[in-house]
Amino acid sequence: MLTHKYSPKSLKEIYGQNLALEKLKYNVQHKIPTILHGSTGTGKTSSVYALANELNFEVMELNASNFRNKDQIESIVGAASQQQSLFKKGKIILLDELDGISGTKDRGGLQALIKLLPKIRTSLVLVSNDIWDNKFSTLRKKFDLIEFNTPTHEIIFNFLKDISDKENIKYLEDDLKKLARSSNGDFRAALTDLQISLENNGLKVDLLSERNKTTEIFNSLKLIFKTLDPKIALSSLDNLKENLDEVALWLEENLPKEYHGQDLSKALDSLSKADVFKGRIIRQQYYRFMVYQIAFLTAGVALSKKEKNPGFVNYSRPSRILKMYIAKMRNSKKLAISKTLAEKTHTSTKRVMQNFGYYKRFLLNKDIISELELNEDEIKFLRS
Amino acid sequence: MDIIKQIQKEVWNLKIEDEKKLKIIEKCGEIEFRMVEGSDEYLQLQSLLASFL
Repeated sequence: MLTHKYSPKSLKEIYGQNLALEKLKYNVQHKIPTILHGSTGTGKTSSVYALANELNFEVMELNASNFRNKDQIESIVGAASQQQSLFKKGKIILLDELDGISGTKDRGGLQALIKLLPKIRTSLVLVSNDIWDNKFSTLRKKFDLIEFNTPTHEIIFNFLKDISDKENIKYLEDDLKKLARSSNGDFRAALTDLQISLENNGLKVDLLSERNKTTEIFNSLKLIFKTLDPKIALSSLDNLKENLDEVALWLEENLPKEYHGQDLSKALDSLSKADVFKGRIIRQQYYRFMVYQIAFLTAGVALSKKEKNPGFVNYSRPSRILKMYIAKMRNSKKLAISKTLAEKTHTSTKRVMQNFGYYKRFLLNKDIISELELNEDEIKFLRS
Repeated sequence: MDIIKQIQKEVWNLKIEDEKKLKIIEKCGEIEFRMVEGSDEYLQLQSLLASFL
């Protein structure tokens, strides 16, 4: 995977953020708490790691996969900020994906962080996409803000060109320009696009049309659908926030758009095998099966096709959950009526549900309505 | 159990058809499932190895 191979090792390898980087270096060395902000794929997290590498610092990362509630912030950040690094010169505490911190799971996390601030003795760096969100208002006052600019097309173009040279990829400058433009200033997206348009060391850029800022799951889907190399497919989910069930839903929704005929049936078979292992994980509580679940979700689906579908496909959000929700809402009125009826008639709710069509015929009788104390909505439902 | 772990890690580096790799992974998963269910590890491993032939 190019995105792994070319994650920057030193600050020099980060493109187009000179000012921000200088400031970041200064802040880290002087232990000034800092927030990096800017749109996705501009190199915020990468630059922290690159800087740590350069200064021989250790990075302690808390990202969205950890819960970051009050207790955890206190125990992890609190403790870590007091201790010296064991093997390296210093330590950076990195809170990545700050935007995901709110909500019920992380309650009190931000306040705990602000309280801890005076006590912290290591460098603290926060990373966020949208720092102007209301929930960060106090944070903004306490931290030094460094903005990462969205890089221009030329910068991305140079970046892609350097990598192509290093990888011995034959390319036309126009193609790289096209890639750079469609990435919308997102290094990661640009690199992913480069990866999937590779073909026998040559570049074939026809499958990409303009992209609007994609969420990461789009990138993963694209990798899975457009590659024939199982290793690339396997690593496609590495940096993903979504859980596997969600990935499965996305894949299921978008499979028919990419695959046809035999390929489609094979891919669906692979999805169902992944689901079998998911069931086994839950039943046995044996999480090593996840390896297989991932293998079938990614490599299985990727290898189901004989050749890449060259066209651009606009992936859509899975609709099944919504459909299930709607069906459930529709059913809920029926269930409510059945429950009251079951109580009055001394039968089970299940039986009333089964014979609902029969009961429905005389339920609209006035006496029965008043006897069951049905409300307006329920009456309307019966009439329809 | 450790052997299976190793196998399914290394499979992707083999120089065989990708489809066959997938078949091997599938078989590994099946065998590991049976082991977790409590069947004889030795016997199951034999069956796994035999399936590679």
